[in-house]
Amino acid sequence: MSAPLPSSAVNTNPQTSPASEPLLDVRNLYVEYLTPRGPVQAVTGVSFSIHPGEVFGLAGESGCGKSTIAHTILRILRPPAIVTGGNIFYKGIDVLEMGEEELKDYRGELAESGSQASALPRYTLESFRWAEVAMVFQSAMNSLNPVTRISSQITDVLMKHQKLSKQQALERAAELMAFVNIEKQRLDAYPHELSGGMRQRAVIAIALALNPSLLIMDEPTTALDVVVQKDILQQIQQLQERLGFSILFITHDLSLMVETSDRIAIMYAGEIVEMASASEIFNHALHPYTQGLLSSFPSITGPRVQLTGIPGSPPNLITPPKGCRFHPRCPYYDGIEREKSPELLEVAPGHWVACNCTTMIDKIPQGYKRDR
Amino acid sequence: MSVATSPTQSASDTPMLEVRHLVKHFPIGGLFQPKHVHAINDISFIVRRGQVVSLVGESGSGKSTTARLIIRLIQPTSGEILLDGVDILKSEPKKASLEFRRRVQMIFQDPFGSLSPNHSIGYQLSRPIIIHKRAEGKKAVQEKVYELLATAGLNPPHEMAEKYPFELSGGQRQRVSMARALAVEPELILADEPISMLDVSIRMGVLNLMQRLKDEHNIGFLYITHDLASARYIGDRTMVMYTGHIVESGESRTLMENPQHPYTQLLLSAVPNPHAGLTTKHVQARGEVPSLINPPPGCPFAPRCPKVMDVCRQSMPTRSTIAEGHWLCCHLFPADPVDG
Repeated sequence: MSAPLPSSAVNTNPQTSPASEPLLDVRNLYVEYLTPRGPVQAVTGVSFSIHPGEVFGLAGESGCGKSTIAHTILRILRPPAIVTGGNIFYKGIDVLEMGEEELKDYRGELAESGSQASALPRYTLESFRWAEVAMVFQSAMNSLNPVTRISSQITDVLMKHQKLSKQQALERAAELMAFVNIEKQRLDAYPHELSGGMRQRAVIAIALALNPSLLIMDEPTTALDVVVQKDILQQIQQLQERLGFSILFITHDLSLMVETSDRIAIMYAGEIVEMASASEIFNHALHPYTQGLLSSFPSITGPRVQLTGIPGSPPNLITPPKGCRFHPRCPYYDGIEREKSPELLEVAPGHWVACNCTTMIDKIPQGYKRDR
Repeated sequence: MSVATSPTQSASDTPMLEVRHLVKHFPIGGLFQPKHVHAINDISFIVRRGQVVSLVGESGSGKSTTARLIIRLIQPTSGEILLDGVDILKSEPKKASLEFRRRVQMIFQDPFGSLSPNHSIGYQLSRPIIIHKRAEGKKAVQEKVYELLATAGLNPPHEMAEKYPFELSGGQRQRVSMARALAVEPELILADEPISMLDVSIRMGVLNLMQRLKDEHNIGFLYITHDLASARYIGDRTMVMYTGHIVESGESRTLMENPQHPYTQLLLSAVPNPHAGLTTKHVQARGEVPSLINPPPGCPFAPRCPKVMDVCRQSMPTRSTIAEGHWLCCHLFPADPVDG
């Protein structure tokens, strides 16, 4: 990409991380929502890492904490949500420690002093958000401002972060629109003049405006039709191959996720219950919840089998079930009351599962059919 | 175009619901430049007792409008809607009768908006029972409510009846909607995207409930969805809708395994399929759904179709039957002879 990045956003870090080092490392994260009825334990002890160039999928039902994690990474959680524990390291810097206001002065110096910048904190929140990690929000179709033109919504980002002139910003905006296959004439359009798919692509263009290293996509295509969804996902994949950013892909649609992601973490009630490569999840899912999720999607091919889904509904997170949070819905629950939820253990290389019924694991049938 | 005269159907076997040449144009624009949104363009289909017919299509293709026309929330521009052979548009031209509303019920997409937040579940279920006189006396009504709740899998019924919608999960609310539809012992239920707003793990439960009701109560369902996999899962037949036309219709399995219309092929190729990677199947057709305001003549899919021919831009294809119960509208296939 042609536009230069501002010095504050460029990773001036001399000790550039080797490929094996994770880009984003979430460690033991706890997030709670303080409500009058008690704290909702939305995220409890979640750890995962995303490597450069990787597409990492976070799957789970609504209310399991997927979006909360995304918002925590970008530090856009609002009260009553509070982070009660854990760290999020981005290129080795703790995102949760980044200052918002007090580092503003440094940024000016950073821009002037250039090379000596490494002595100073590498990121302030403002230089981190969007420049390093950008996000495509859920119902992105509605996240555009309806009363301003697409062009100014893109140039805003560029002028604010990269200090480009209006003219430069417009040129860059046209370039970005070309990335997502929208003619540059459409820059003058208002959001309502674009179709849902185009709006979604415009939002992706805005997210890519500052060349982020990590793109968080929170249910990016849920509101779209299948044909448009496929088109957009293919485009994102092409862009990802070309620009090499990492993706944190959040969705409840497991079949879509298996198709697009390299590695997948399955979340249930605020915890990661299983984490493995996409093919491993699809072919050798071990956790009863993952198996239940997989059997909640009817297939478009093959024989018509009776699917059961998962009986019951997700728990209330103010008073989550003791022990394994899935046990009230689990067909393999052994009846033993436990205090702590099972640990996430590596059962095969790269395949992590949190399940008490380890003895059950090899007995679990592939189809996960529950007799009733 | 011959309508619904499939060879398997004997004359005595009148379908429960038959829609013939249904058209709906919505007027828009000013007094001097009248324009019309061609929402539904000449659709015909039948739904039998104990049959689930899935209607699939992208948003804006006219699926919900079809349901709203059948349940008579809106008046069609032209066409016939026959219930057991009687054209209800002629027999009750202005307003649907109470009897019609008993026979045809609808389940809406949003389980959060379709129940009143101010009344208990029991109250909401008792209303249709009282209005439609399905039970007499307080005790009988209450018993009927409990029975409905149990049928919909909401246990224990006497506890559920006391609850208010906000106390229920999405899946439970949708079960209440279903129980409410069942309260009047309908013959046909129009289910407009009943699972699209539910959590993934509870969707199958709601679909299986629909299946059970179909089998046990011999109810016909028109299942409207954008999700082809669930359309196949529950639908005996599937109809594919595009810009207000039904472009292909057939037995669900045959249709999904052997799609013939280029649009159906496109739609199926776009469904996420973990067995194949994202890149293996290439989506050939690009572009988006054309505007429905005064559309040009010819096949509406022509601008996106990879197999487009000259004739496609000039005239609308008519029905071609390619196998028993499997027909489509495409110029690639010879049209059925016009009879009558």
